[in-house]
Amino acid sequence: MHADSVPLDARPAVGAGQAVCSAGELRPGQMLPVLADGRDVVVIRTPDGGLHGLEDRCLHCGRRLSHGRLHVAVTATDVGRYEEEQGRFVIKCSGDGYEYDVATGTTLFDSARSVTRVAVREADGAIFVGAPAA
Amino acid sequence: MTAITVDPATSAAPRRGPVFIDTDVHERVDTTSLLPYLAPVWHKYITDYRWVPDRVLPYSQPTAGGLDRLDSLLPDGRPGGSDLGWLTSQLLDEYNVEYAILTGWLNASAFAEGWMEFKTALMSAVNDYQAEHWLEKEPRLCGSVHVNAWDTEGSVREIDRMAAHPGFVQVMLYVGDQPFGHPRYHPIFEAAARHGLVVGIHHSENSPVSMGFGRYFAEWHTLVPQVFMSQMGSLIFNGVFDKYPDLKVNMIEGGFSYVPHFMWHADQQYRQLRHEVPWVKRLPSQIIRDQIRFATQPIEEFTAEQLETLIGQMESDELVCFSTDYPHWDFDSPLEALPPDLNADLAQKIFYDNARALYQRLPAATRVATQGDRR
Amino acid sequence: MRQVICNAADLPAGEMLAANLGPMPIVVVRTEDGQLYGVLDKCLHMGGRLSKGRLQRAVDGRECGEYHEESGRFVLKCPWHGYEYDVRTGATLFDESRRLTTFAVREENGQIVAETNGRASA
Repeated sequence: MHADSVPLDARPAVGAGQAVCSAGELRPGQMLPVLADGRDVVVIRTPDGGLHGLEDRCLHCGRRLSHGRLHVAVTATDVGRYEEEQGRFVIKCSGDGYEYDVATGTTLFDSARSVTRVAVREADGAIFVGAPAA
Repeated sequence: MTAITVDPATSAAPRRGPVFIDTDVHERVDTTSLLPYLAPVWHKYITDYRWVPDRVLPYSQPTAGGLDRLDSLLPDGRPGGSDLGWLTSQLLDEYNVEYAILTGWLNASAFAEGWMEFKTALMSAVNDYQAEHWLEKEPRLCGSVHVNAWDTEGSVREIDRMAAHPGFVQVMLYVGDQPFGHPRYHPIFEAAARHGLVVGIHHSENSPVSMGFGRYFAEWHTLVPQVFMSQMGSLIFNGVFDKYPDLKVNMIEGGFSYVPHFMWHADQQYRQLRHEVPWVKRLPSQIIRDQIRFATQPIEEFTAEQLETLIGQMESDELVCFSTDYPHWDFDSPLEALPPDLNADLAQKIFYDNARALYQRLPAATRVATQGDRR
Repeated sequence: MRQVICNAADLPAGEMLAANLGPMPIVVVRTEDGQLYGVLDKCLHMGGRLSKGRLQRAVDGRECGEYHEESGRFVLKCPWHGYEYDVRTGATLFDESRRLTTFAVREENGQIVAETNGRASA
């Protein structure tokens, strides 16, 4: 699912601990913006099936991360040698291009800067958004 | 209109000003003096064919003494920096210089790339001459290994050869017109870091600014920091500092007031465009604070408040090292260049501590470095 | 303070002479048109000795690319960074408010005499 395909006013709006969609609706490589208990959250299903939740707001430009791109993280050990980091995924903001590790919420350029993680879980064939993770 | 000088000689006067390390002093050698250090095959190009360094700058006369401080020209007509005794009396004995780092005059990155073999040989001759006629005659002088950057293998060979001489503290590149971050040049930085030699990158005349040289010297010279920003951006974004974490670079004669601007701007590009340069692992400002230093000359007329603010914006008072650029026309005097009411700890760092920390191969301090009389 | 600097013949037109007036290093100038001037022999910027610089005609330009010598106006150009001072007023050519101390210099009985100038600016 391309995030742009979900108009903001059509976002699921749910209370704390409520299901936001069925498990099958969020396929690998997709993101879902939700309003969970009044909070903007992006639920991410990485291509390897992992499930993550982040506050849906770029630290720098304030745009919704769910409008950005979900990519494999790219690193390098020498100039010109681009290497994908298997199993590590980032959201790249649609505005300023800031990259966030989806598992930690941390920017790739500064380990001291992170968006808040939000607990998400899959149970009974549905995806639930809970309280912010510790 | 010549001056009739009735100048009471001051050679016996005590040295003046703070104890300092001078990170930019130009010794000069004429090409015929290099003949004993060149293989015979090269001699005729100097003796008969009259080789002279490339000259691309459209103006060669910045001010009253040409490139040199007028009073540094030797009575016999030789350019400033040609004579050890004259340099000693005008600089080393006039002021409280603990060490002066020689930055030379002939450097192949100030020339075009062609005829690489001759230029590589010439750099070796410059280094041998420098060791014998300057470093081994005056312990306050420290050397720079000149290399022909266009010949990477030759450069590495020369660095390895000269690193065996304890008088050399730096590898010398001139800022030139080619970005040194290109992987082609990386072995030069590797070799320097391996030997604990700083890489000094010095202002040079073959560096047009972004729209060329301009119609006037004043235009071009105002924008010299632009070239240093280009070179610094190249080194950072091509991963040189990440690849060689022990490398230290001193940016010489490019000024330093542009540094906060560069840090802010480069950091913001990195935050947004890291995906393009993933080999860069730290914010550019952090790389600068870890691995790059800046020589002061040519310094602007700062108030203490302006200079302290500028240093504060760099978020480190350890980045700037004093330099005079003797014997050139825009020589900065250690008695006058820093505002007299500058914070004393900061002055001590700029005059002494920062260069001492940067140049690891300097001999141990021979005397207690204290903030001397500023006047 | 008043002091004899030299014999008049020792300072031909177009030349300058470094001297001391009491504790002060001064430079005494006889311009090409024969006028005598004296200013402090220390550049306001970095302390370069002006007597080691150049005594030249002032050059002005009204438009880009125009250079003309100003008749009767002479400048001392510092041997280091090239700051230029009008020998008559001691002022830099780029900022009238920055001035060297000036001294009265005249020829008396075949000698050149310098004197501290009551009007001198600091």
